[in-house]
Amino acid sequence: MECDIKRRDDTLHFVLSGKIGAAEAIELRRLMFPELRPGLSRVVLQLEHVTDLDSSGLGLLLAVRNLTVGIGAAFELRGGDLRLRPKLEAIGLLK
Amino acid sequence: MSVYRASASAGADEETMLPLYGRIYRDSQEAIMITDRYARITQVNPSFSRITGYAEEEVVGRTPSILKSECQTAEFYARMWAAIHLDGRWKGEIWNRRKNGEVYPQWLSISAVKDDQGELHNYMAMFLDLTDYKRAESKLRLHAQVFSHAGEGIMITDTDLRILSVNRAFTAVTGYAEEEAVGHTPLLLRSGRHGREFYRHMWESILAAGSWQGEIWNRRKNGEIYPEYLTITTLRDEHGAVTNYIGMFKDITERKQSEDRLKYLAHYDTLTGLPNRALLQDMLQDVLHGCRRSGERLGVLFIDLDRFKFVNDSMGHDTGDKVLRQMGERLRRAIRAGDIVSRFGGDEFIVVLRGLKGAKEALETARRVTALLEQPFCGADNEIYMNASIGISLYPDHGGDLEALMRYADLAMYEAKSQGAGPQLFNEGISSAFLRRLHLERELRFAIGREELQLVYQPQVSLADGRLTGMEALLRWRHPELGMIAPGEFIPIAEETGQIRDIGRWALGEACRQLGVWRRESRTVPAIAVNLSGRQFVAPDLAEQIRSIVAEAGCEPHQIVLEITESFGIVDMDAVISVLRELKAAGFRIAIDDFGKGYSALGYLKQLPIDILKIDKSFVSELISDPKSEVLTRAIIQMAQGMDLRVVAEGVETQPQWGRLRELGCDIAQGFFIDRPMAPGDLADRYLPPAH
Repeated sequence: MECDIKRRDDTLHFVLSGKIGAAEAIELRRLMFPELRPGLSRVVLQLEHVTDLDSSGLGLLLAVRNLTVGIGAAFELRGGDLRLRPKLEAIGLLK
Repeated sequence: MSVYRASASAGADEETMLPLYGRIYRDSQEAIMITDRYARITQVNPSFSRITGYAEEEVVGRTPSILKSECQTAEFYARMWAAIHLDGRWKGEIWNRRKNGEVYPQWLSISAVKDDQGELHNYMAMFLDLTDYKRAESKLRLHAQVFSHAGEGIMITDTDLRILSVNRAFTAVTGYAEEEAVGHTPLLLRSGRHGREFYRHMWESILAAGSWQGEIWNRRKNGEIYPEYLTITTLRDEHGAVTNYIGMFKDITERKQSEDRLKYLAHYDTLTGLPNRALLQDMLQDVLHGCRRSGERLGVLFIDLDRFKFVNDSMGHDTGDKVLRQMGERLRRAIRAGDIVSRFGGDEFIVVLRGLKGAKEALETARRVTALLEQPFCGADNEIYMNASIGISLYPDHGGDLEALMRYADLAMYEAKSQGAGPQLFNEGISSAFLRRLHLERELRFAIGREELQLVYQPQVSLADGRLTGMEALLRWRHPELGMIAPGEFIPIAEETGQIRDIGRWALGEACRQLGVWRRESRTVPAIAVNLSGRQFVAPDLAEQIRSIVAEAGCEPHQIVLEITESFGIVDMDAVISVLRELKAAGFRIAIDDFGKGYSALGYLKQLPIDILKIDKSFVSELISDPKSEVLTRAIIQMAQGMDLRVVAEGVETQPQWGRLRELGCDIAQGFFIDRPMAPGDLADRYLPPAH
């Protein structure tokens, strides 16, 4: 699991890769949550390189979205291969 | 609180508390599962094993997904984890799977365990098995649903009878919504139909037996009063103290209506709306009971329409029903308040006259009823003339009980019918006459088969020259034990029982057979007149029957004169005319018998295809003594001549009668003055010489 965090102006990009399970979610939470501060207008989660997500990982994505909405920023999800899309749809992250 | 704080802060550091925590962990009723920060199970307490069925060593190192039941969606778990990631805790109801595969509900709370620096080290999950709770809840839900959806209205009150809850059926029946009913007492529904005693009995039963059930009239919100079947049950707590009353009821309006309808059907005749036989018997029992005490006299009129079956058979049951309805209405109008009129069955009606002074009064009423029933009835599209026979019995003169009075009135009615002389009061002679009549009726059934019937022939001669012009075949019955039975006695029985149809066919066949005998003896025989009964016209193929009988005997229709009486076809003359025209067209001649005796419309004479008119013997017998009879006889003869009909005078018994009829221009005479009815051999000897 890797997490590349990029900030351009008021947009924050999280570029995730690898499998995200319970253990990875804890690490990602530690990395990502502190970045989600007021002043951001957009948070982009890029999942092109994520290979699998379990419920803990999915819960993390939901938590990121909720925090993003909480600070008044727009949340955007990009990527996510064919295996991930049904899971993302099931929890309402893909409209 | 202060003591607890003091002890907690004074000596209760974590180290000293550890044994206590250990015991709590071990003895807790809640299952406790601890995982590492990566959600791998590190330890579970005994309650975990008790609830899930997994021993600790089976789950340590594995994730809690071992308990997953697939009952929750992926979104459920994602949201659970989102809450844990965000808040460090989650709680809610979840369905998991035990080791044995059973899925069960549990109340689960998950907490993230962090150190003082906020670093996550463990997760702790605690859960309770909700199976029993769910069962109880399910049962309660079921009870609630039964309460809510029950077909019976249900109302629950407290001990002060304040309504606590009602169900939907209560609202549907009473019109009161739950919020309108709650807080009120059942007085809200009181109809006012029941007195204090009713409610006193009800509460006596509730207090003594714990329940009451019965029919009660209540009032809906819209004011309508309705019947319900109510069951009140007492609820008690574990100490036996009353806690509630439950009233369950069913609207029985429809059932009541059905019962009322059934009661009506059981006691009233639906056609006329009059009391039926069963109700009459009940009423009469009561009336007789009163009469025994008061000495009141009663008259029972048994009324029967003559030849009503003929109306039904020839004009249809709808017309028959119409006549019966009108009859019921007329009888109702004819009686006083307090008298009873009932339809006994078929065309039989009973009138009970109360407070009767004597037999005379009963007879007068019966005659009045007779006159009312002789008024024409409205048929489908015609008027129907009927006669009624009325028999009368009196209480206490003829009997003291219902059965006897009805039987005697019935017998008297039969006597009235056979005599045709108006209402008949019961007497002992009627009883023996009835028994003889029953005997004759039975014997008559076998008369043809036993060859007890025979025909005799009475000559008819020309008044101009005294030559034989015809003869009438007359029926005789010689019973081996009873001897000769007069036609006036057995023919009405045959008419009434319908046996006349067989007898009529036999008579025609016998006359034809005799014609054949005479023909073979080379005798010149004029036409033979044979009587046709009105009952024979019920047969739709009468004309065909007659043609066949005559043809099979080798006779010609012109050898037969068919005699019908003037009054017999009154019920449905149109049908009779049609049959007579068919017979006339086949070559038979038609005679009207007993003309002048009845009262049918003369207009029918124009339509009837008749050849001969026979003046009733009552005119002939008074021809000399009564100028009016002579006037009428002359008028009949002139009318017949005007219509080109031949006239036969019946019952000519004297020379003066013969002479006067001849003067009046009558064509033919028949009667004892000419000759008596005689056996065929005698007639042949006297009137039919062989033609050599």
